[in-house]
Amino acid sequence: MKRKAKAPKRVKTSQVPAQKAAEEKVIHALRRTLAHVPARAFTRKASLVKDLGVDSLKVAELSIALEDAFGHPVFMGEIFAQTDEPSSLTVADIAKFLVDGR
Amino acid sequence: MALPFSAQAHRNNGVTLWLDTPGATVNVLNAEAAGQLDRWMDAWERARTPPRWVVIRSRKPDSFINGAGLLMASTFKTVQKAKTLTAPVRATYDRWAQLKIPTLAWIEGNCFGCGLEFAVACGYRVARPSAQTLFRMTELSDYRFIPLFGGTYRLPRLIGAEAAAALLLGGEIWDTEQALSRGLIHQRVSGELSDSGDVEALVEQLIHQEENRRPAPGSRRRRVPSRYWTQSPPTRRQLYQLCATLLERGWQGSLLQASRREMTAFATSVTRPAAQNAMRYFFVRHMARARMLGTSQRRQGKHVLRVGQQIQILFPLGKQPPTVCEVRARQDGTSLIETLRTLDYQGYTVVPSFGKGPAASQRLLGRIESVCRTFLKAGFAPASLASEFWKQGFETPLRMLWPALPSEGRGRRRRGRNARPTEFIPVLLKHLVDECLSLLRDGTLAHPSHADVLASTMLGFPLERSSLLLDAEASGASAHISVRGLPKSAGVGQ
Repeated sequence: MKRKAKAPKRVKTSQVPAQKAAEEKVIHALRRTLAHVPARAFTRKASLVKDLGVDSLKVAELSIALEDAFGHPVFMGEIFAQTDEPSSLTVADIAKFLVDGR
Repeated sequence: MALPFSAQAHRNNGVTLWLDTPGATVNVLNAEAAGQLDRWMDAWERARTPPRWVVIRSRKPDSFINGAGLLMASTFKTVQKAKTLTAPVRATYDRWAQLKIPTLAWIEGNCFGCGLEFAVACGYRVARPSAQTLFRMTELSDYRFIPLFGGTYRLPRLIGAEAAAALLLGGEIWDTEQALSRGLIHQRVSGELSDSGDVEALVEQLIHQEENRRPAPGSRRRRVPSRYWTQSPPTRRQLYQLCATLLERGWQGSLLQASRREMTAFATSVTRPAAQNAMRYFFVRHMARARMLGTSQRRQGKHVLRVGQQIQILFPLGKQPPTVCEVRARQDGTSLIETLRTLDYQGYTVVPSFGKGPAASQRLLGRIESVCRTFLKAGFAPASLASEFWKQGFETPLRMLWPALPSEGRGRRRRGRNARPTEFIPVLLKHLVDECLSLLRDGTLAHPSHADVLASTMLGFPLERSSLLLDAEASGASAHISVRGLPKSAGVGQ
């Protein structure tokens, strides 16, 4: 009896080690930059603008914190400028951007 | 999270709204703050006894309101989106300006951009003199877009189009004395009065004094001097002329018509590449500052100067010749960071140059001289080099960067290959980028953003092209740099 081929198992982005590690680094950098925000707000799906209150001045500080975490220049202003909906940019999105180098 | 505004009631039914943007060193009038003001205005409209007057003050001594936040503006890709997303905050400004309750802006610290527009939307303005109590309209000079919150019609109606142009087009920065003499504020208040909290008497006096309702001196000057756009580089002449027209027409028609003209001009200008690039430089500048001085959350390393060791700090050029200040420590242990912070606080742009060799600024100036000599040798006229430099939007005259540039001499065409004027800037930029990479590799400069700030402040690199290194990356002029990663041999940060 023939068995149907199983569909390939879908792997969530967060389960990919590089992505997960990057998300942790981004959250750590955000917590350093936004010390006034409650810790529970920092999730991978949290929007930087809507949920965490990141504004233009914090972007610069966040860039520095991410540089320390990732070891290379990070220009957060450019990341925001390249998205269609910057207000919905999440922690996971930032991490993916930094992992993919896009 | 804490709300931006908190209210303080006074005994004669007055209210002070204290602004303290959470988690920030400066105040911004963003959507959240505007929403809070809207809720208060709703409550006052419904109240049986609304407040007798309302004062706006800041809890941050160095910042009244520094702007509305550029993050969203830097992402506007279409005119319609710019109009839609800014509509709620614009509505708040308009509503505040039309409030029947007397409003007073009690200004201490920076009053920039949208902050100045908010102060102008208040009925009365007082200011406490201090090193940080300064008035600026940053929209055109720093970000290359038309103001959004009434700067093109409320400001000229208050102080006249000519004075408004001095702020907007001329990029002037006024202290409290200038603001008083131009009619921007009604009174200067002492520090003692500010600190005592006893504001009731002053407010009552202000809102009842007849002279505070008279037009400001110069308010009838409705023409904008043409030099603001005729003497501008071609890269921004059209924008400046548009703004001048708006200022002159700010008197004409109703406030609604003026508002609509302004909104259309803003939405068109903010989506253009010039504004988007200028806003990119804003982020670069703040990165440079954060990397150098540390942030509220990150203390910069303790870097101390030893006797004889030098750092060279660049002072902003403005309209003055370039000045590099050489700082030598007189005794061991002088804190570099405290020195930089002191200068930064005074408004200087500081870019420390490390190492024993020539300063970063000197090396860049050396490259400029070298390229100029090459083109002069090729038969290119000095005047045409200077003209090309200016036409491409560089703020600093070429002669200021190389004072030995010959003042006479006609271009001679040689046989064979001739250097064309249009090649001067691309060649110059390539040399400057190469020198910046070299400065980063050998540690003379600590971070790419420092190179960009140096190029912008000293050379007047056109904001329309964002920054030197970002522009090089975007144009593919250099294959060796990436905003996201320098060559491995380059250092990052301190």
